[in-house]
Parts: sequence; C-alpha cells; structure tokens
Amino acid sequence: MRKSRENNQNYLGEFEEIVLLAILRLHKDAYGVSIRRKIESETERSTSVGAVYTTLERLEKKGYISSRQGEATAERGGRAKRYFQIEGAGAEALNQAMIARKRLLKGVNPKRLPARV
Amino acid sequence: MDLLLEQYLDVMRRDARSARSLGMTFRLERERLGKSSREIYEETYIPERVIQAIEAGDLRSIPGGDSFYEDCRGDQDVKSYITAYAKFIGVTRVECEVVEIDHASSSNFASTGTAAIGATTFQSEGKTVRLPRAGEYLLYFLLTKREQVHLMGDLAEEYQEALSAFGHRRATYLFYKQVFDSLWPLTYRSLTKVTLLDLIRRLVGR
Repeated sequence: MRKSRENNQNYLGEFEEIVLLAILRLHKDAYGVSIRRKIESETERSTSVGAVYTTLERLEKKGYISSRQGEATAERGGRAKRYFQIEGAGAEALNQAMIARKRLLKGVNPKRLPARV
Repeated sequence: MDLLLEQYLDVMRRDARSARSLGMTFRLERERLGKSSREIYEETYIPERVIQAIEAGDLRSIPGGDSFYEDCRGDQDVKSYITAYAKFIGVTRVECEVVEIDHASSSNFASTGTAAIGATTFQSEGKTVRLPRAGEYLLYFLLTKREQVHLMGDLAEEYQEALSAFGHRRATYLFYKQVFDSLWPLTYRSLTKVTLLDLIRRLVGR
C-alpha cells in the first residue's frame, strides 16, 4: 500500500517527462527558449512558453529539477535567463517511467497495431 | 559613465560581472586609504570574509547573496554590507564600464530587476520597435515575480530573433501566438492555487 502511494508521488505526467528529457538533452543550455524549441523539434508538436514554465515550476516544487539565474542580455531586453538542471530525484522518476514503459511495451509489436480509422 | 551607488546596485543585479568592477573600486580605494580588511572590520564590524567577497565580486558567497540576484527579497544583508563599506571608504559614485545595453534602454528596469511593461525596445531597420504592450499586460498578471523576468525575457528573445529574421509583422504575430497559447496553462495554474477560503476572503474583501 505504502509502496503504491510512493509510486504515485513519483508519477510523471507525459509533458513532465518530455520536459525532463529535453533538459537532459540540452545539458547546460536548458532554459525556457531552448527547452521549448527542443520539444517542438523533437516531438513535432506546438508548445507554449506558458505550458513549459508551469511544468518547470511543478517539477522544481517536486524537487526533480533545480534552477539558477544566468546573466541578462540585451537581446532579452536586459532580462536574465533561468537555467534548469535535473536533480537525483528527477533522474530517478524518469528512470522509473522508462522502466514502466518498457514493461508495458514487452510483447507489443508496433507493426501489428490496429490501423487508424 | 558615473553611476550613484544605488543605481549601480541595480546594474549589478542584471550583470554579475559588474560586481567585480565594484569590488576593484572598493579595493583600490581601501588601499589608497592604507587600510587593511582587518582594520575595516574593526571599525565597521563588516566581517572580513564579506569584505574579501565584495572585493572579489563574489557576492554569492555572502549569506543572502543568491537572493541579491534573484528577486531581491532577503538581499538586505548584501546591500547593507556594500553601502556600509562604501560609506566608510567614501565611495558614492561608481564608474560603470561593464554593462552596455545596446538595444534596450537602461530605463527599462525597475529596481526589482523586472522590466516595466511596454519599456522593452529593439532596433529594427533603423526604427525603434517596442515589445507589444497588450501582450505583456495580458501575461503579467498571471506570472510570478520570478517569471516576469525569465518568461518575459524568453518572449523578448524570441521576438527579437523573429524581428531580425522576418520583420515586425511576423514577429508580432508569433509573439501574440505565444501569449494566447500561454493563457490557459497560466490561468489554470492560478485557479488551482486559489482555495475556496481564499475565494471567500477575496469576495468579502478581507
């Protein structure tokens, strides 16, 4: 019972997982604009900066990511960037999500999926 | 350009490099007076390691130093150390060499480090173009203080890039697209933060 509750707390939403993976891929250059662009280029879906930031805030509250303030540049009207990086808890949650997905995919043949109606 | 210390502290919040310039000014002035950091400590009670951190431009190593660069809450220690040290060695103005804002005017920034609405401007084909004000207003009320800097900075960066690549009209279209697409997730977040008790309190007006 306790284990299932802990698992629920570690549960990652689909978009949270995508944002975490984007941060992981961007390594030290993960900030709002680069994260949004990475998501759009890799998933081919349109994403708003508001959706990215609300997700980042949620992930930071859960302790999955941390952030630091970068330097302000003229291109940004003098406003500073905020860089994000994955913490241990975030890596663990991502790992669990991957394992669960792998387990679910076991025995599934993508070529034999029902045709789109 | 000479800036009053108070103005220079605002510059430092936007550009960490400028802290080193201030530190160097302080160190040169202290040496000119022939004082050691120990003597400064004995007369001002500013801890020696804080004096060394200020002179090295390493404000983050001072307790509360991180918040000096963040949202200015809890930065009073850092600010009071700097002003006390400046007062003691007689520094009232600082030469500002590091920060040069080419595209955006320096009046864009309030003392909190956030840009005022409608004040962000860019140069495009010899004309001054303003970040669309209505879009900024729409988002500002839904953003946290921190996001007002970072999220709006991201939008400004994308606007500036689109401006130089596609021109004013397309840049404005893309900016508003981002604003409207962001409205629902930000509004939803705000709604989930408001508890029933808060709602009743707000309705009653207490």
